[in-house]
Formats: sequence, C-alpha cells, structure tokens
Amino acid sequence: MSDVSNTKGTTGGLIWTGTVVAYAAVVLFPIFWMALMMFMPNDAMFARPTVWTFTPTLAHFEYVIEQGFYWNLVTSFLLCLVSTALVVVIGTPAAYAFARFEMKLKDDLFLFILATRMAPPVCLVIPFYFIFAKVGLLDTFAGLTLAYMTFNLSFYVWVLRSFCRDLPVELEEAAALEGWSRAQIFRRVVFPLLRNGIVATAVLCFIFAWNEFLFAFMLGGETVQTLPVSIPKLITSQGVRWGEMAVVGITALLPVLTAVFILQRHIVRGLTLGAVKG
Amino acid sequence: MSSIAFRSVCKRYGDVDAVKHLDLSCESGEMLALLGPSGCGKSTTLKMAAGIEDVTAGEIFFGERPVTNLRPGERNIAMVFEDYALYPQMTVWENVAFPLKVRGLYGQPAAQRIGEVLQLLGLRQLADRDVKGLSGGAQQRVAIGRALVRDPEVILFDEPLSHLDADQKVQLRAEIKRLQKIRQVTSILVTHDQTEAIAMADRVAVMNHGVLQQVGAPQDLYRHPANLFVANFIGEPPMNLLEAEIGEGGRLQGDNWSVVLDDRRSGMLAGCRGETVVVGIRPEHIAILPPEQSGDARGAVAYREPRGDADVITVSVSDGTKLIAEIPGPSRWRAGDMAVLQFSADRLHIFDPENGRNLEVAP
Repeated sequence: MSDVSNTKGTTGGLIWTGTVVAYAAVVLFPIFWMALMMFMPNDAMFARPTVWTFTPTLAHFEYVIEQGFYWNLVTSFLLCLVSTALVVVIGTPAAYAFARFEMKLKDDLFLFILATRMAPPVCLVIPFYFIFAKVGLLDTFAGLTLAYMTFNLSFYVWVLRSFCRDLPVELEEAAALEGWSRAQIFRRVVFPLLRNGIVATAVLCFIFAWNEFLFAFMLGGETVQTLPVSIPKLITSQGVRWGEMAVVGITALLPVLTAVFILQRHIVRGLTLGAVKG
Repeated sequence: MSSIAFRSVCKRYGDVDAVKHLDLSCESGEMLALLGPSGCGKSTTLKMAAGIEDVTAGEIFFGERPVTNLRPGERNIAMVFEDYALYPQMTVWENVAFPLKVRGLYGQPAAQRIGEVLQLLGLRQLADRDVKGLSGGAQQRVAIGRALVRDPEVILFDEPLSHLDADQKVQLRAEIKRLQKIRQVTSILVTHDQTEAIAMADRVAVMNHGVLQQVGAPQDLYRHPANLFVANFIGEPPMNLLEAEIGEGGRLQGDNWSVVLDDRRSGMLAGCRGETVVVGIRPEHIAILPPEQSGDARGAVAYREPRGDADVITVSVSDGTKLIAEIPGPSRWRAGDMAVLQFSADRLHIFDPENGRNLEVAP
C-alpha cells in the first residue's frame, strides 16, 4: 500500500489509505466486538445506549471450561490433522501420477476425481449418512476422517497436480540418467521441490476441514463433536450465552489465523516454485 | 568411448510417426549434430538414445552393446538439457558431485575429480554458490560439468545453447567443442540452429518430418545437398530455388533468365529436353554486374541488406521471381538500379521437381 501512495502522490495516497482503513474497519469490527464480548458482563452486552466502559469478567471463560469445550477443540484439531495428513500421504503420489504418467482414460479419471466436488455437499450428506449408518461409521472419529478425506482429496490432487506439472521434467530425466528409480527420484528430487506446494495446499485442506459444519453435524454430533458443532449448545433454555459463544468463536479463529499466516509465506514460495531458469 | 548406432528405429505417438526408420550412426569420439526444424523428430531421437523415450521399433547399439531395452541409468550416458535442469536446492559443487554421490563415490577421489572438472570449466570460484543466482552460461557450464564428471560413454546435448545470450552462445559453443575433443567423448547434439551444428559437429544429420534427409560433414551438406529440403535448410541466406526448362545445348530456360550449364551437368541432362527441373543457386554464387554487361538474368534491385563485410541484394528478375545474391560489401547498389546477374555455372544444383532429389547425388 505504501508503494501505491508513493506513486500516486500525497493526496491520492491519502484517499487510498483512508479507503483501505475504512474497509478494514468495517470487516474487522464484528471480530473486535466479539473479542470485547468475551470479557463483557451479560448486562453490558445489550445495554442501550451502548456501554463502552465495563468491568471485565472471566465468567464466560469459566463456563466454557466447566462445560468441557476444550474437548471439542481437541476433537476438531485431531480430526483436521489426521484427515489432512492422510490426504497428503495419499494425494501427493496421486497428483504426481496424474501429472507425469501415461495412463488409459487419464482425463476421464481426473474429471471423475473433480466430480466429487461438483455436487453441493448437502446432496451428499444424506447418502453418506445412510452408508455410514449401515457400516457403523456414524458418530465415529474414523467416519468423519473418511468423510473429510473424500472432500479434500479431490481438491488436493487437483491443485497439487498443477504444482507437479510446473516442475521441469528434465530434472527427473537427469536423475533417471544417473540410475535412480522412480521412487528415489520422487523422494529426493521431486519432493524437496514440491514441499512448499504441499504445505500450501495442505493448509487449505486443514482450514476447510476446520470450518466444516454440515458433515460434522450430520455424521458426528454425540461422541465426536467438533468445535463448530458444539457452538449451538450455547443456545440454552435460559437464553443464548453470547459471551461464551464469543469465547468459543475466537478460540476457533486462532488456529485458522495462525495457519493463514504460515500459508501466506508458503503460498508465495509455492507459487514461485520450480527450477532455476535463465 | 563407444559408437552409437540407430538401426531402423521408429517412434510412434498414437497415430503420429515422430521418427521413421532411422538408420544413423555416430562414430566413437565423434560429435554428431541432429539438425532440423522443430517437430522434425530430432529431440525424440535423442531421448530414445537416452532411454527416456521407448523405441516403437528398431534397435539402438552403443558399440556392440544393444541398449534398446535398458533403462536410462543402465546406459552410462549423460545429458545436457536446454534449460540446464540443475537441482535448484544444491550448490555448484553439489550439482557436479551428484552423479558421483549417486554411485556411492565420496571423499578424496571424488573431490579431486569434481575439482578437475570445475577447473576445466572455469567454475572453481563459483563452487560454493547457489546455482539459482548464476547466469545462464554459468548454469549450463555447471550442467556440462555434471555430465563430464563421471566419464560417461556418451553425452547427449539437447539444444544446450538456445536459452543463452549471443556472446555466451559463441563462447560456450567453442568450449563444448574443446571439451568434447579433449575428453574424446562420443556426443550427439540436437539443435535447430545450423550455425551451431556446423560450428560444433564433425558430422551433421538433417531431419525433417521424422525422416533423415542427409548425413555428412558440414561442407558436404553445403556443397552437395541431397534434396531440396537440405538445400533450403542449410545456408544463410537460403539457396535460390527456381523452376527451369531444359533447352537446347545444355541451356536451362527459366522465367526471364537462362543459363548455360557446364559440360558435366549438360551431359547429365542430355536427352531430357523439354522437361522441368528445379535449379538451386546459392546467393554467394551469384555476381551482380552493371546493366551494360551481359549475364544470365537482368532485373531491378528490390532492396539491399547490408551485413558489414557483405551485402545481401534482392533482385526482381520477373514478376514472380526474386533472386537473392550475396556480394562483398559495402556495395553501391541501391533499390531501383538495373543490374545483370551472373551465375557460377559450376556451382548450380539441379533437383528433380517430383521428389526433390538432387540429380547429381546418387540416391
């Protein structure tokens, strides 16, 4: 942004900066308000006119911990981690194969992989429910992991294939001439160059799984309850516990924010990945 | 070092014949250039020699050893690629060391060999640098070092100079040739640049549409092109190709020009009176004379392209015929000047218009 203000002169720069600041303020205000609500006593929350000064309270945090919401956090975290890890382990060789190998009906297969993302998730959740109920995967950790994998795998393979294609094939040919097998080439030549792409794509998969509500709600919910699914519990018979909701909401936001910061660094590298060009 | 032989090698991609019945050999210690326009099958041929591409039919031999079904790693070859294909995460030293490391060669003997190769290529000072920061020329040198370090039987160069600046190109061209001669390593060079092929190779094989057109020393290709394609492809500016009718007494009659052949050529065409042939004449074998003199053709100068010590002059002989002549420069010819053209009758090439074959070169 400073670049823009420099090139556009002082007045133009000020207007630009002002616009951006105003936009950021609009976007960030709800999050700021939510952060404020974490510490707000209940009576101050909906006071009219708006109360800006209040004695901060930790009551909302106490309630959230008492109710064992940290278990939901752990569940969410483990679920996302395991499903993303499996996606990487299965998807990376698949993406590489689609990028490099000759196979019959390759394009059709590839389109088929993408097709799993074409239907709206709502259409798939019912069949998933019946299948899972039949095979006993309903409300299990394995079941939800599997459900998330089917979603993320197609996305991951699709994105990573283009990363693989951007790698110059000559690097692999050069290594093949030295007598390395496909597996060795993949591990020692392709993988180091692909690492940033893998991280960037995996983080996106993680975020997707983290934010997912519908499947977690329909296919899990009792024994396996993710953080997004746990939030409606705060709508109680005594009313909506807004402060607690703010606490859970901000907690849910933190891992994603961290991930996005990591992603930012890696996606830049990921996009510029490839061998040296003259 | 060993020779390389292609025996009736074919490569088919689906319905497309990339290489058709290629019979070609490269002697031990020789540098052979595969020259042709893009898509002529030269790179495919190289990749089949490397084992990166399978052979559809036919056989490839290194010396006496059939390699057709060997994997690339089993052929003892090295390759230098168009875009260098250096491992970006490694330094110059590590890149050159890589082929030795793969074979389990470490320590003092390996270090000495790497040192020698770096010395040979003038890369000593850059040994610890990242390859990413180097100029194209230096990167390609590193790639050549990587190819040389383990004394392969064969080095395959796939358009090694096409991404380089003009000055680096000329420098590296000479250097590759020098190293190839010092090490006496059998090499195949793929290029679309005839200057490169002629400057570097002992022999040049010209390919088009997957078919080998002619193979021979650069001078042979220039002096005795086997067919119209080679005649047109080799030489810059390209050869003038004109249709003509065989007339009385060894005279060839073209569109507003005519030439009397020398005895050998007219003897060759005796008895073919009235038939049409294609005559090829190189620009450097046409002299331009003042209009009052007599010659083989007459026309107006269309334009002049000065090239320092030579001028390339285009002359309109008739509505449809423009002839290009290369004469010592700088000359005084200007566009619009009338001029007389004199062909060197002993340097004419005569081709069969049906199959494009040079009538002088035995099929």
